[in-house]
Amino acid sequence: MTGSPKVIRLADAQKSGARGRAGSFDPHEFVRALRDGQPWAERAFLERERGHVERVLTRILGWHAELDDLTQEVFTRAFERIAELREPEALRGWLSAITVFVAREAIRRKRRRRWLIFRAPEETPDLAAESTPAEARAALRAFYEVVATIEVDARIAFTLRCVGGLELSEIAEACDVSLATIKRRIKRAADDFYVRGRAHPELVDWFEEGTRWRQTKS
Amino acid sequence: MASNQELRALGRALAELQDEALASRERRTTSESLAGIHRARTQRASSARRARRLRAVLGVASAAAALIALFSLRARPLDFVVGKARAPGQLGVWVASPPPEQTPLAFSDGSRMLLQAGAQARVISTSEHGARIVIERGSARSDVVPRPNNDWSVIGGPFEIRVTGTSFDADWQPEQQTLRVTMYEGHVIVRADCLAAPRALGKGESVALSCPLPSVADASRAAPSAVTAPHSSSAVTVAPLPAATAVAGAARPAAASKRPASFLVLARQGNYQGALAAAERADFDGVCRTLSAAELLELGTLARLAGNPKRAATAYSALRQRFAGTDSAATAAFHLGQMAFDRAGAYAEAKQWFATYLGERPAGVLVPEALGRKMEAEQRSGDLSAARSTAALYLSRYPAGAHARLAASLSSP
Repeated sequence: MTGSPKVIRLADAQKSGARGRAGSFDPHEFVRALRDGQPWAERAFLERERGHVERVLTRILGWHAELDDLTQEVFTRAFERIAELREPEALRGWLSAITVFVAREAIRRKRRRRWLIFRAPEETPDLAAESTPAEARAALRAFYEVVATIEVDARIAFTLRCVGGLELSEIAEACDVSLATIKRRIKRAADDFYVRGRAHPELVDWFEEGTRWRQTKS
Repeated sequence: MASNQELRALGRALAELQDEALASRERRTTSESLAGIHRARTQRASSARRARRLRAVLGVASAAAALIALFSLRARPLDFVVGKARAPGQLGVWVASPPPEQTPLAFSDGSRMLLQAGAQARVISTSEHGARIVIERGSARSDVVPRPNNDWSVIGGPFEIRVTGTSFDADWQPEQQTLRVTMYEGHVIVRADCLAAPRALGKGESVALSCPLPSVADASRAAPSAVTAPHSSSAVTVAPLPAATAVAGAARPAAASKRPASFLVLARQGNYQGALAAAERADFDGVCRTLSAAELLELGTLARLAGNPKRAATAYSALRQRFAGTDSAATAAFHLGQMAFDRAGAYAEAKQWFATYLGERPAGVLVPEALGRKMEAEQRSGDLSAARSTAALYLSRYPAGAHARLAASLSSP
């Protein structure tokens, strides 16, 4: 490989957009470069997809305390397993699946610490920017308190759909299950969320008054 | 069911907040991240090499070790691990399964017990042929591997389920004194003092058994024949239980007509952390001055299950102060004892609370557990004389109870 094409590919990769459309660059060559451990490709991959990975993790987990470490874990696994990727066009979906797996592990790790009767209160990390109004911050916290009570796989599907705005087919791919299973999980979680969320003081207002706390933001 | 529009609008709003937060945070540079990723890969590669070498060495040794283990396991009591983290299990230590989780207990012979959300249990003894497990409350699925000479029992209140090799659900609700057993495989035998005869259950069968509480009149009539405990502060009498009855359906208390506080609603959904946070926002101490006795009991329990024993103690103490002499106040004393017991080293305090419960409710539903725990607290606090006396009382009343083995060991010279 010469120096010039690398520069072009890196620029293309950076321009290719947050939604993962490959644009004009060749995904087959890009994945081949990742498999070869080309530093430019790894850097481009990280720069292009880090935002996506952080968003998926945040949509599912709702907290930031270990976000950098979890993001690093996702890319470490991706680089280690890039040889297993069969379809270079599906790079982003494949990365999303790794991200969901890492998020699921994080949830289960957190829950594993809860079996003792008198466990120590866990730290509650920041969920929103400092500039976020207190009411909105409370609603965000309440949302994730409620989803934390939902079964893990249903919670993941629900947050990816509800907060992440992903299509059902994208969620099914990321979770490595059928479309029907994803629909069932989302319905189950939405039913649970509706019942529990309406009982939550911060969320019941939202349900009843729509975008109340968003309006107070400005 | 929430409308999709409602949920999507909420989701979009939350996503905007998260994106703002992500945009405003200081994150690692690309170079720092790449360096971190490469470090992690190097460490893993190195660990993998070490693991491969270790596997090669262990490969030869493991065959021999397996043979040795086979022989030694035959004579060793079963081990067990708790939770998905597989923490080593300890005899006598209560294990809780906070909602919405299930908590597995995995035994070294392959048998498993899965505590359902909200259940509490403890393994009180193990042998090479099985274990004795007490369900304090809630439901548990047991899958016992069939083996020759199996000796397993699951205890809920006055009931003991004897198991050989089978799969079944057991659900013990102390408030209703009801044990529900649903069989999936094999068969079990349920025994209890209050049962006229042991009850055998086979595959596909289910039953709800109850030792109903005596009425006040029954209890007072029964009192003269009850055994008196040599207790330091007050005499403890334990009224005999009437015969067991099979109940057809789930007898649940009627719902209160008053609309419950939001934190109680959350607690009833199993969201104890959220419930406690809501109670704090509603002024926890102020709430303790206004709630009914039953609600205060719920508040204490939700704080306890949310992992905040200090707040639980505040609620229970308020209950005892405001509603002295009631059933709820006595139950609060039991829970205060339970908390003191589970905090290492507070056995003297626990003993006093259990004694208080027994003194206030000699025919209460929690008497077997309170008496057993009082005996255990006396033993652990070094008051062996009192422990022996309580053990004698316990054995006379509950010879097949959850604490019978400990009581027998204390009673024997």
